[in-house]
Amino acid sequence: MMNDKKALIIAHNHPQFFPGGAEIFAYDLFKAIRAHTEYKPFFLAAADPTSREVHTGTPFQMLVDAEDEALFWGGSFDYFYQSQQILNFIYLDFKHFLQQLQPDVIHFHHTIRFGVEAIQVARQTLPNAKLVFTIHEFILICNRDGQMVRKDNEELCEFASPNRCYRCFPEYSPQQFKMREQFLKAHLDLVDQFISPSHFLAQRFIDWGLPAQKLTVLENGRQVYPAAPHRQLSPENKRNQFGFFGQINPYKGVLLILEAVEHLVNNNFQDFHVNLFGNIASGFPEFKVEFLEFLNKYQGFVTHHGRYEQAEIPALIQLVDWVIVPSVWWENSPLVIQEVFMHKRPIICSDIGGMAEKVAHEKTGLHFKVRNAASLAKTINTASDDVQLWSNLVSNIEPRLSIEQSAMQHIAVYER
Amino acid sequence: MESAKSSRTNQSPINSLSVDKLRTKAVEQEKAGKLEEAVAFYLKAISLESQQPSWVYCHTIDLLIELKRLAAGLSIAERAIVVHGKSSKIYRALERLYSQAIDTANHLNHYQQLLTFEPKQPDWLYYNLTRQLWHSDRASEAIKVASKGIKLYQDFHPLQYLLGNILEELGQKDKATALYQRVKQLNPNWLDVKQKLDQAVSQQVQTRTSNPSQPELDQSIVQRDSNIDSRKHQDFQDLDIDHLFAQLKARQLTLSESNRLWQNSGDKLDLDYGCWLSPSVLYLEVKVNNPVVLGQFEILASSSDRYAVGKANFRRISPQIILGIACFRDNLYLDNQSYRFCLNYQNTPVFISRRVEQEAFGLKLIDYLKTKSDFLKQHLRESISSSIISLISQERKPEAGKILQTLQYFLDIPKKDYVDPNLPFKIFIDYLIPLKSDGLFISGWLQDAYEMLEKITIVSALGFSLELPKEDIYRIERNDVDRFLQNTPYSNFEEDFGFCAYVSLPGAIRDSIAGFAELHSFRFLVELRGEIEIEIVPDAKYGDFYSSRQKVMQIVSPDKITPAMLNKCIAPVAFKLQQFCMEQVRIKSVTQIGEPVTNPLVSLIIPLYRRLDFMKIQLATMANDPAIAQCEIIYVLDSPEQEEELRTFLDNHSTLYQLSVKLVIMQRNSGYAAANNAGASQAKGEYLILLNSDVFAKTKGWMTQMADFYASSPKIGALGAKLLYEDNSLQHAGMFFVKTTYPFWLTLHYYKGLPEKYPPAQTTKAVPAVTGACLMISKKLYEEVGGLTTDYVIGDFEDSDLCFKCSQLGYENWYYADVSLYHLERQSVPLNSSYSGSLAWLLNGHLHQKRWGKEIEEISNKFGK
Repeated sequence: MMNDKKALIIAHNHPQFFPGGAEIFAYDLFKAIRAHTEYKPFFLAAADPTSREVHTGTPFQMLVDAEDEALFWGGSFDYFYQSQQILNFIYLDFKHFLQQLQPDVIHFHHTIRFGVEAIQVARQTLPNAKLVFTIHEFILICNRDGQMVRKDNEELCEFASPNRCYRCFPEYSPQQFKMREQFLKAHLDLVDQFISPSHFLAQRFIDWGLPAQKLTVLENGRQVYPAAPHRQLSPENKRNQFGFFGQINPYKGVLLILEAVEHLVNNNFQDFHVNLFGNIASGFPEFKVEFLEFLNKYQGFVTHHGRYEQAEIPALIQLVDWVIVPSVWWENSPLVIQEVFMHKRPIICSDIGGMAEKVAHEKTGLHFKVRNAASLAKTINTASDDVQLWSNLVSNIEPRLSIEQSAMQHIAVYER
Repeated sequence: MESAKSSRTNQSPINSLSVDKLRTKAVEQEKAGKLEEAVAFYLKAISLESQQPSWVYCHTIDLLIELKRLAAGLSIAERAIVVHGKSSKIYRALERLYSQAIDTANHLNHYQQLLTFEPKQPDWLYYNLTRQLWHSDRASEAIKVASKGIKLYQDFHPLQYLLGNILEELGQKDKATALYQRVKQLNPNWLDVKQKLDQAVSQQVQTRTSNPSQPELDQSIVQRDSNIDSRKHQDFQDLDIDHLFAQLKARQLTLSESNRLWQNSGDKLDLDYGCWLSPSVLYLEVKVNNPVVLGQFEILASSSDRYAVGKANFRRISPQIILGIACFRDNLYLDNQSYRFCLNYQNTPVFISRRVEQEAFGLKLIDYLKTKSDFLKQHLRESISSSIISLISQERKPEAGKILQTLQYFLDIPKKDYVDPNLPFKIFIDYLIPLKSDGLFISGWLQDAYEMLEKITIVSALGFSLELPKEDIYRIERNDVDRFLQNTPYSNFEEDFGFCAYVSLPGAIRDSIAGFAELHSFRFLVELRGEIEIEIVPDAKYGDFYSSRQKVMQIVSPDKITPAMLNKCIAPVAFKLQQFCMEQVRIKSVTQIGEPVTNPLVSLIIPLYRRLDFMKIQLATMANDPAIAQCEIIYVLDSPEQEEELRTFLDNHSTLYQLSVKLVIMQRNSGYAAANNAGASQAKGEYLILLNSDVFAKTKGWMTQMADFYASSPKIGALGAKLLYEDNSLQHAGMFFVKTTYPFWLTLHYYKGLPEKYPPAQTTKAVPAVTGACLMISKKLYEEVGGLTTDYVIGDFEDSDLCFKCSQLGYENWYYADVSLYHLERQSVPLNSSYSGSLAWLLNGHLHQKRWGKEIEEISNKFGK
């Protein structure tokens, strides 16, 4: 295949340093574009100072021995304004790099660690290049790492405004939040096309002020594997094995599962088991104590398997019939949902945000009321009891979007 | 034809006027200050009809005196006496005339004539007549007139003093002393009489002890005039010194001709020390001996190759020393020449005993004065300064000013205060704010437990004194002094201990020092009840005009200030300091960063003070606005200490955003108005937009949109925009004014706080005024009205002031509803949270009211309807 067009793909981190959903997707997309399209891509990932030291006089350095990959040192980044502090990295080095590379498309998966100024310089330097920006989450709207959860009472936050944001961050004035918003929008204005992995995420940005006509919703594609086999059941057995995949931290809602377990056990429903896969996040000592106490108390019903690798999922998922995604925040388009659907397991999830959008209630899974253990308990109970329900849901799960398909969809956007 | 006609009409119609008309014309001209013309009319009237009312004659004579036409005055006076033989008015006019005329002897009989008509004449007449008679060697008549006057005016002490002088000269010392004592009772502060009495006492002592080793210095002073007068016309009959000096002054004589003077013998002043303080100012110390020359005289300086006549002033500054200061028009001491000197003392030459060959320029004078006692240092400083001020010619003022400043700044006078905790009266001056040559502001604290203070006399190192009466001293709270006094015997007296006061210089003194000498050092004579005088030389702090302005603004809280204190003390000082601060405003540098915009339509003028973080957003929001191509961005840094930070920022951001920026850096913090004016002075655009750094656009193209609208409506003066808070509520949609209980109108913004879409705010319309946060005005009009007024202390009200200046020229101020910008109000001036209600606010409000109260009333009525 002739690679006659060039795309620069920019990610805020490299999956080797941090295997987050956005990083993995950006890198996979890069490889898929390289392998399957007429575009010749270049992958530029930011590296934070915990991963790399800066070289003197350049923000660039290499990670893998390849002609089309490089790192951009992102240690001088102002998170409030999402702004680069060493501006000559942008208007000299990055600009020079763009002049050399002459990409037809510059696709930002994030501007974290680069700074939104990179968009400014990209637009100036290559006025005819297509600027594409994938919004993976809410960090541009919400200064609280994009969670959109109120800091004072942990309530879910529906929209940002200078006064609301000031309540979460009294160290900044409402005026400064307006300044942040105007500053970011002044740069985002230069982007030609935004891509959102979910309608929910897209709508939030439209409400915030991005023009709807610039926004396209594209599912994040995955490398597609064969589904792991389901548990072999004798007719009298129930589909009562539940799983959780992901880091054990306060936002992912694991405690909610344990509270639901307690609720079920106390109500004499004991014919089920939950398997938790994932490491316990550091940095939340109180949460960790509570989690371990719970775990100890209900060890007959819940098993914590600890850290796992991506490659182990097919084996691990064979233990469960259902996967629970009980996040207490919005989620955007969680990778785990794609993964689980690939293995044809129905999902029990919170009824909000990206989760509710990706999992159709009573079609490919079941919704429970977010942050409500009783609701989750009732849903587990229903799921365990109704074998026919499980079969129906499984049969509704459609094949996943492959990364190759995803690459083609992106190319279509690039060419639009 | 035209010119002939007009010249005829312009010609004085004096020949065609009636006598009545002539008199009317004369009075008109006199009132207009055209003295020559007035006299011409009066004289014509008199020539046509000598039977004029006495006032016509009096006015004519007075004007002739004023014009120094004494001979004409005398002839008119003769005629007046014929017409109004018995009018004392006419005789008084005559007296005024005679006192100006040198040759008085022939006319003394007119005085006496006057007394026969009307025995009771005004007190000064007796004084003048006595003096004239005495100078005409008619001492016995003088004594008679004086005695008559004293009978009529027993409290008129100058006459008694004069009689004392006469009697003293005639050897009747006891009678003289009795008169002096009477004078002292009448006026205890008259230094001359104190001195006379001291002399009398010391003479008595000397006579009793008959101590021959003490030279009888004081007697020689007393007898000075008679000594010299007796020699007059004897030794120098052949030499008319007045005439000679007049010739020398006019440079009509050659050097060798001038030397004729030196061949004469004459009195000599014994020179102790002499030096040049500058090439044209001479310093002499002469011994007090015979003759004693005191006062102002012409002085001849002569060297081997030049001579010059200048003016000299001789003052006695101690029992031993007479200080002489002479000022010349030319720079004489240029090549270390040796000069000799001669005075014209009442048409008699008095020679200085030795030549002067050395200089004591600059600090050498200070080194010399350091050898003197502290008392003398102080008095020499004041005498040197006041002599220079009274003698100096216009062209020598710059150098002379340096001598005065050196004396003030470098002569270290020991500080003296008066804060003994065990005494009921204490005073401490801790801040001095000299206002160039305008006046002095002082602040400090005092305890006056028994209300003993009567007044303070302020003695300037420039040699004059100012009276500060008790009622001009304003008392203010000083809690620190409360604590200081806690454990003293006088801790239980309720009083505001702080004080401040402003003394402005009388016009004559101000004129005499304006432009070359500035106030700096002072001593204070505090007069207490019971003739107690305390001298203090304060160990006070000084500051530049900026810090002084700050100090005055913090001296009293505005709710404690009385109207008198505000109007007579704080306001004049604050506005003066503001003016001085503004006089110091300078642009430090102007830098063009990036390629300049050619022929910009709009110049955005953005003053920066302290907070620079807004610029990041402002530049980002302007960067990709296509309209910016027609605009020039001018940032004016008014906190120059941030220059480096700002330059780095702009270098980076102008490159990043490809924006051209003109950077104006002020020499020092100059305030909002001055910064904008400085920016405007660098602007090339047809329109200016005064813009706060915390204002940024919600939409693009707003600058050209405003310019288009401005251009389409020629009646617009200032054009404001819709401004929003960060939450999209309205911050500004035009300004209006309301009356409350405050003494001045308050400025309000239309619809402030209401939603952006509030219907009345959607209409573009004329308004009373608009805010300066975002204000468009054509550059031409801005220049025509002189830009923003810098008179407001520290700054405020400038925007409405600018709008009213436009209204005054017939323009209207408009609110433009079609562009919206965010204004993160007042974030840029942290001071402003406490500004409203501050002293500066009060002052500025009053000034704004004074300037525009009437316009506001009219405009408000118009918009109210």
